[in-house]
Amino acid sequence: MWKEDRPYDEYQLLKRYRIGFQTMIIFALLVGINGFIKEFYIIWAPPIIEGIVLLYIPMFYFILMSLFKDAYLRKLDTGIAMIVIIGLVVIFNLFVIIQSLVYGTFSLVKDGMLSDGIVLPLLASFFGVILIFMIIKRIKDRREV
Amino acid sequence: MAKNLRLKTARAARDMSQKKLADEVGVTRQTMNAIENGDYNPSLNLCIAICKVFGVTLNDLFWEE
Repeated sequence: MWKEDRPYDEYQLLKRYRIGFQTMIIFALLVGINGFIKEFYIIWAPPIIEGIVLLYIPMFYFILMSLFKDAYLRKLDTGIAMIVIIGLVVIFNLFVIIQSLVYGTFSLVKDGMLSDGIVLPLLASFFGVILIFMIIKRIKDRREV
Repeated sequence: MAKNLRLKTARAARDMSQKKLADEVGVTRQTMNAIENGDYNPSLNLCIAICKVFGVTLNDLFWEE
């Protein structure tokens, strides 16, 4: 008998393609806006931080939308392992942020530009929101069954 | 798109959960839920696989009058 043997089923793939296209549009818009700001106003971050921030928003959109539309986890994934791993990453990030706050080395802005310190809060919020979303989705799914 | 009540009825008649049917045809439970609710129009291969599980024809489950 025919059986779907890809990691994602046909409906999930369809949704991922759609969200992927929207993500690409968002990324293109952000690159355009960033270029405009840099050209006419201000250089707001060093190149590496600029790249991280520009990637952060579309990636965040893709993952949250995929989670929301049930297209993020593969067919056989239960999500528990991912919740545990992402939870550990969030705890680690929060630990490092608190540590740098305690030692007074934490700074978001340096010389009028975003500094390297922005990476940790970005990562913590990124994984933190994904973790919360995954837990909510899992509770909702268990109620539906 | 209208709800596919015939699929839901066929599944209920065999006392089968969405999860069990989804596992048999190799899709997620959410996809099966979307098909039953009329949110997703499945491919011909998937329709045939579902019909084979129930031992019915495509007309029985997916033909709209």
